[in-house]
Amino acid sequence: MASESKNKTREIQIKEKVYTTIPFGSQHVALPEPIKFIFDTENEIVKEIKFDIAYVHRGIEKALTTMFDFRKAPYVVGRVCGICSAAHTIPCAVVMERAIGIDREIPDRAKAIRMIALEINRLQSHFLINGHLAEVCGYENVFMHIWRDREMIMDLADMLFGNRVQYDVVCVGGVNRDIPKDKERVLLDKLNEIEKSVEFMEKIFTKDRTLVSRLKGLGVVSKEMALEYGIVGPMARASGVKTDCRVEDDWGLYKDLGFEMVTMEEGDSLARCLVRVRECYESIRIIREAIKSTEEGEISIKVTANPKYEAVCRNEAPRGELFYYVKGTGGIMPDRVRIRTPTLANIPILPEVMKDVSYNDIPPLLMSFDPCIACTGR
Amino acid sequence: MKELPPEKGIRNFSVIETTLEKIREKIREIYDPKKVHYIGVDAYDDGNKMEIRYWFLKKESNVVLLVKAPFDYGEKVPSISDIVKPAFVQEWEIADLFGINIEGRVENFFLTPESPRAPLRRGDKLGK
Repeated sequence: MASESKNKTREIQIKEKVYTTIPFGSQHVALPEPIKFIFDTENEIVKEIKFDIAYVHRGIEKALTTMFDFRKAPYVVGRVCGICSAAHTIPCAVVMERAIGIDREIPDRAKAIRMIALEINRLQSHFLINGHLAEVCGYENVFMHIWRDREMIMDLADMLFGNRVQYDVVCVGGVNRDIPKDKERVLLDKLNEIEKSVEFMEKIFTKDRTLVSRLKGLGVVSKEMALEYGIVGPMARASGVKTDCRVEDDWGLYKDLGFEMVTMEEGDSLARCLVRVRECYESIRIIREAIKSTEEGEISIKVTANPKYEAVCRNEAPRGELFYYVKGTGGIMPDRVRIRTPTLANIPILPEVMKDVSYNDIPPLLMSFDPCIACTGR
Repeated sequence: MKELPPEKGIRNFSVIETTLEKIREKIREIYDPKKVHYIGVDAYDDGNKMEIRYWFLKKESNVVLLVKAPFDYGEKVPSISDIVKPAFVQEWEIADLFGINIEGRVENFFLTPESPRAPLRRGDKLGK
């Protein structure tokens, strides 16, 4: 009798539709950083989304105009985010150099070391998020494998720059340490091992039937939507938008080294994941080329003036276009610094993509977006 | 990226100056998602007046473009999020950081309610 009544209730629920409001975050097992979503669901299908990102604002833009000499700015912005520290220090140094008017004098060796730092940063970031993605899909062992291999990249950064997370190798005027020949050899050997890990990752995300079926067709962003919402980075490239600041801005030597952009057309969670995997191959190739193309030599120029111009720099962080603006007035501190992070550009499309998705697909969908909330909060 | 002569202290981007009344019209004129990439929104406070700033990238020429309009403290700033769909998030952000009265803003979107109000504002402090 009781079970009959239960079945009847269930039938009524399905017919009448069950509306539930589900808070997701600010602390959640699927979230590496604090962001809060409130999902209004209808029979577990997400219908309305509200989000709140007000958790980690640290006033870094203000600190750069009130507390720190412009020479220290790259080290300060490295603390915007641990995952993309090099991705922040480079455009910050470049935009200061442009605001002083010395950006054309930066030695090639310094540019090559900046590129190596950025690509190592990209490798560990892509490993990190793909590991997380596997974890939220239920593959804890894959997560552990990928993160174990990520340690090789972290150790490599430690060997080259003296630190695993905050490289602090980039300074206004160039870089503050060279890569000696013996370390170059170790770097090239390690890259071979990392390449094998990328192959493993690619195999898992293309051949494993469960992972593929979980991610394929989930959260599709068409090319038109991607353009309309101005999304950036691997997210845009997974939807067939050919955009990459490594070729669009010219602070590095990417064009000279024959950089090849990775794009896919599908625009779903799997495509976003695979674009990141395939970008790892390109990062490894760029590091090898950067090592080959330059010799030990001059790594910085003397900076004797203060920023006096207004300038911008666009850099391709692991999550996409990172925009820096500086207004110099000739003093030791700039008058205004604006940092527009890639996640800030990718957030507006989230409610649109999450709509009509089953609630249990939200964690992998969100991870495929690779949001970085520390960057967003700054 | 195209190098521009450092006229008026500007290095590598172009500027369109307009008024608050005409800013929506100006952006409607230049913005086509296929040709122009929307970068973001910013504001500037020199201590006497404020500026709303919209950043774009002309894809073909790879030139960054700044559209800006000055306005007085307390003046209502129109939103462009019906023209440039993703603009709302950064509009709400700078509304919090500068205490700007932007159309359709959600309060405490970027800052917690306990945070200092409008930390990037210089003149005409809020909460006096």
